[in-house]
Amino acid sequence: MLSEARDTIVALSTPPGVGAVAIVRLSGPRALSLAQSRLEPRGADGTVLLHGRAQVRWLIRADGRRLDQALILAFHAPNSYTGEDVVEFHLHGSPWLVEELLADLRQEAVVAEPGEFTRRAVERGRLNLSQAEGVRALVEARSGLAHNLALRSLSGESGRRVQDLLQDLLDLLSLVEAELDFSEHEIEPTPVAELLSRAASALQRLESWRASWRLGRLSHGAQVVLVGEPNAGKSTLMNALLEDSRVLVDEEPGTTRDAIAQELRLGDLSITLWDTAGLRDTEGRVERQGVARTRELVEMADVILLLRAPNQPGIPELAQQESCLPVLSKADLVGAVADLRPGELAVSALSGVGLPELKAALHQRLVAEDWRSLDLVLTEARHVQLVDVATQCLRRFSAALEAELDRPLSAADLREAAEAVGAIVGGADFDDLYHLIFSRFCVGK
Amino acid sequence: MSHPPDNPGAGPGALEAGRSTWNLPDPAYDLVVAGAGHAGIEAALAGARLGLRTLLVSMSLQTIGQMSCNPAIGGVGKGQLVREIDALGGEMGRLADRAGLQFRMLNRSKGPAVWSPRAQSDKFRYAQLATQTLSDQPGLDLRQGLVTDLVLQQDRVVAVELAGGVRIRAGAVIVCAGTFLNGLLHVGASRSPGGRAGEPPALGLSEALARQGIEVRRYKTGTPPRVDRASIRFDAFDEQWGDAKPAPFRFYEDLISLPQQCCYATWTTPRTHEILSENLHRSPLFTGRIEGTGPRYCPSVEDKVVRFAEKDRHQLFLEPESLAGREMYVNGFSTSMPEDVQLAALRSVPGFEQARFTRPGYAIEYDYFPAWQMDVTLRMRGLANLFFAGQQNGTSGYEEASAQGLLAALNAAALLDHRDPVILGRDQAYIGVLLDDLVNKPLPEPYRMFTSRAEFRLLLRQDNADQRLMPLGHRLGLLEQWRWERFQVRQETRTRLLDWLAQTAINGRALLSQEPEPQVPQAHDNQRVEPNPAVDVPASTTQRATEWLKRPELTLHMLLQAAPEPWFTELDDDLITSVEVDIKYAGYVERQRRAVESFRRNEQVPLPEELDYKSLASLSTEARERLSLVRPRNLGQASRVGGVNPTDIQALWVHLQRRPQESPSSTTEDAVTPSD
Ligand SMILES: Cc1cc2nc3c(=O)[nH]c(=O)nc-3n(C[C@H](O)[C@H](O)[C@H](O)COP(=O)(O)OP(=O)(O)OC[C@H]3O[C@@H](n4cnc5c(N)ncnc54)[C@H](O)[C@@H]3O)c2cc1C
Ligand SMILES: Nc1nc2c(ncn2[C@@H]2O[C@H](COP(=O)(O)OP(=O)(O)OP(=O)(O)O)[C@@H](O)[C@H]2O)c(=O)[nH]1
Ligand SMILES: [Mg+2]
Repeated sequence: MLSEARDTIVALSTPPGVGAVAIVRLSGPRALSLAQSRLEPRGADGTVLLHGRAQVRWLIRADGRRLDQALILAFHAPNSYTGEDVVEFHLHGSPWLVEELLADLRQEAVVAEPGEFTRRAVERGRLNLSQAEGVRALVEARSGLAHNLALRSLSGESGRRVQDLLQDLLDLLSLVEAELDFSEHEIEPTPVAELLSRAASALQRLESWRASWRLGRLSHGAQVVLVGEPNAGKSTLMNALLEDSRVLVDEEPGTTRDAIAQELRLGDLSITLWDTAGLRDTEGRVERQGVARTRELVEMADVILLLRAPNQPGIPELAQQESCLPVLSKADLVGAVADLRPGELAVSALSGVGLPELKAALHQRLVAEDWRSLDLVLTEARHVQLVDVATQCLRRFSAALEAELDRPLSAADLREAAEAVGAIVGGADFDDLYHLIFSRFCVGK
Repeated sequence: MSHPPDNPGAGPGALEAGRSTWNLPDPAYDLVVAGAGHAGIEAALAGARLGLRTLLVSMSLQTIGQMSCNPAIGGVGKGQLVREIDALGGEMGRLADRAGLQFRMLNRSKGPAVWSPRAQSDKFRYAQLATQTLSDQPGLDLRQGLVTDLVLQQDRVVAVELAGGVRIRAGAVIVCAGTFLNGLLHVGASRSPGGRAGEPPALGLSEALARQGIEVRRYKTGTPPRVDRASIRFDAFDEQWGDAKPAPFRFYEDLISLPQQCCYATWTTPRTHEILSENLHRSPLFTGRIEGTGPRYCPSVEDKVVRFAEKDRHQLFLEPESLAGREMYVNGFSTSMPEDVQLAALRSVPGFEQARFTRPGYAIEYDYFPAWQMDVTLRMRGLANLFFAGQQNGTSGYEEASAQGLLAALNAAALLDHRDPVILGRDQAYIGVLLDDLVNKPLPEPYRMFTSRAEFRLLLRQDNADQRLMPLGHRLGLLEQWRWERFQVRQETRTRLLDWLAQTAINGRALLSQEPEPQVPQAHDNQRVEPNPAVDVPASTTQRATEWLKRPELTLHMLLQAAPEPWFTELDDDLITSVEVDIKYAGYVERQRRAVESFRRNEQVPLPEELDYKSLASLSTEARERLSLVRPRNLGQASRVGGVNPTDIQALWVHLQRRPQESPSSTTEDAVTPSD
């Protein structure tokens, strides 16, 4: 059933639904011939679909019935996204047409698994791992920030920065190893101070990359949670921010009993905004569950919008949290401003007063620094983990050097650090060490 | 290679008309080893000791176990190999101890993880002891002869053919031809065929193997001149003595008996460099007469002068070659310049003003067979019973050669006895690293062992080679019974020592009274050893010995002296070092053990022998090619094949998951498929 050779895969590659155009993509060894068999007039000589050339042709089913007049674009292996033969059909954006075409092509091609085009691109060496992660992020990008960061990773810019660091670590390791493996030869020992300063420079980069995760993780969407006592005006503010009556509002305390999430675009950020059940000690079983859920959300929030209506005491223990942005709601009420506490933003969801300031403060809170000035922004949890490992190892390396522990121990740490950094871009080659050693030191009998 | 004509499918053989009928009765020998260099010695002894009727054929029975180059065994990375060979039941450690003229533990100041034993050898004694050992070995025959061809039947070698036409039947063959295959010696512009100075090359065999589609390439290496000790003014040099307490290579037995000798150190001068530079046009290296690739870690002195022009001196070491002769080896002065240039250059070094060569330096080019053609047991792929070992596989060095010879023999025996192949992991032994690197990596130059090649270096130490490998040596039947018994007793002692350390409370005052251990300055170790800092521990503290030991300034020796017990006499240096390191490095050792575990996960995913990489479109083109060549045994090995990147491994893994599970019966040859 499964042939050794790769299947030709097919999938809709634009979002499903009605749009101006829908793109159906074929990739694999039979992509060209299959496409040719679905075009009028039928041609099978392989010269019909030229590489990179667009043509408008009638699309037909296997039995010859016409389907749609479409734009056909072919890319020949290996110069395509996947590295295989690829054909794109740009149809008129009707779900019915798309479904008809897919049903027809499925007779001779298999439906692609999610991400399979990109996986093939990686496997064919068209993209490296971090570029592929960039592509995935680009497809998933819901916001300007995510889009920009994804583009950076795709362009290989991040990859190059990581390669540079890897190279520096290998270079440092070559200095350490030269003294261990070639102690019989004329090796000038590298001063410990120099080893330490090289390690410090590497550490500095790792630390700044690590810090960028605060920003990079936002490319997966920031979590902003509205929290407050019942009747603080959370639901009303949610609706105001969304400019839509999404959630129920009532003067009765305890109206919202379950957490509700909604997407919100805030400048270049994509935010998941949560309305929650008001926090209070309650007898109600359902409401108690809601309160518990609110507490969980508070834990994971990037920013807590902590609401307090005038004359409400507020929730002091939350106000202490770093992620907290305190808001005094219902600022339109008479005498409200007199109750304003230091650090609180006065906002009226009803009149709109203070809303622009709130949005600005929220954006500011989420994106404290300008990502464009950053050396590299980590956007993948996997990379963060590797950066953490490398950082730990390098710290141990320096500590062991300073404590004058045996050199092979420092070397082990350094090697592990290089392995971790290498894993971000697909592996470190330790044979480079010898090249570095032999070009720097005169060793020989 | 020739095929007996009764094999219809065979191509044109090297057979003469008169010998057209050839029946093949039982092999006359189970194992034939070709070449009595370091690889061949180890291979032949191991074969015979494992009960194979073994023949060792070599071009000359007068040159068994010659040291072609340096009169020394061991060194950084190499000393570890020797100890491992010894722990498996091999011979090299024993020979090196008995022929040893000076012993040093290199890297003494760098930490036990990279301590590396090295010994100067009496080259005559070494060769003589090797000859003696081979001659005394029951089940082993020696014979002089040049192997020129192999006789094939299908994919099996059935006999070796010697120059002159004699054929000797063999169940398995190990070729250990060293630097001899089509060897070409260079001194200046003069070129002469030779396998080593004064010896003829081995002609014919490379061509016969190449006809079978085996790829042959050229490497080169070189050696310095030897100088008559009577012509040297020694007072110009620094004396270099060995360790006051020589540490043998061999485990559990001290066979060091020769009177210990002195080496000497000196430096080249600017004048030396001038002479060499002025004559570069006469060097075969720089005029392009030598085409083979040489090792970057062994540049000739003319190479050094060119590549490191900013240095105004290079270090030289003078090493005695034997007790009987007057030859001295000039370490650091490898050269293939014309003899007059060599001599003028050397004479510009104070102390050598009157130097007289006993032999000039020279370079040699020779054939080798890139090892990616072999599997990790050193069996040539496509041939069922032909093994290759030693320098001809693209390595350099006696120790690397011996290790291969030993492993090739273990695997030849396993093949003949229908047992599982013997494969050492990278996590088990330097020997494992050596073979794994050899068959997986494209090697830009002759391969030499370095400790940094072993990613699990903290675990693979010279002090614990016995613990790592003796159980295997015993299981294979190579390790002597008495040493196996000693091993077991020592393991008990080791446990006892660990218990003692964990339980015994020691007071700081008892440690304060300790004298720091005197350290021997290291001869070739450029970094001088600094004296131990005075022991400075809190006198009022009492704690367990294990805790004390974690302090860098305290050694296990000090703790043992602070609270002596009668049974401490059972402890030897290796045992003490290995326990000390395991405790002092505990955190690191533990982390490396965990790394080993995750390393093993991929090693345990087997790759089917018949996997058709060429048809796996998900692999990069390079990976497809390299994997088809190397045919790794498991996913871990695949990941180390040069040109294969992590995404290829991921794709392979995905492919394995997708493959329909084979029914177990389809893997055995004689399985009957039910037909209904
Ligand atoms: C000039 C020179 C310089 C060297 N420099 C270095 C160095 O710097 N560092 C280093 O580590 N090593 C060096 N070596 C290499 C070192 O000698 C080898 O690593 C080591 O000897 C290899 O052992 P072996 O068993 O593979 O082969 P060898 O020691 O070369 O032994 C091969 C044996 O096989 C026999 N033989 C060969 N072909 C046949 C045949 N067809 N039939 C029968 N018998 C055959 C030969 O007579 C010989 O006895 C050098 C060698 C030479 C010659
Ligand atoms: N004047 C004025 N009234 C507001 C404002 N925001 C909310 N209210 C009123 O306050 C009451 C409670 O508002 P909600 O938004 O339901 O409050 P909540 O915090 O979601 O309350 P629970 O869901 O019960 O926890 C409603 O009657 C709203 O009309 C505001 O900005 N100004
Ligand atoms: Mg509400």
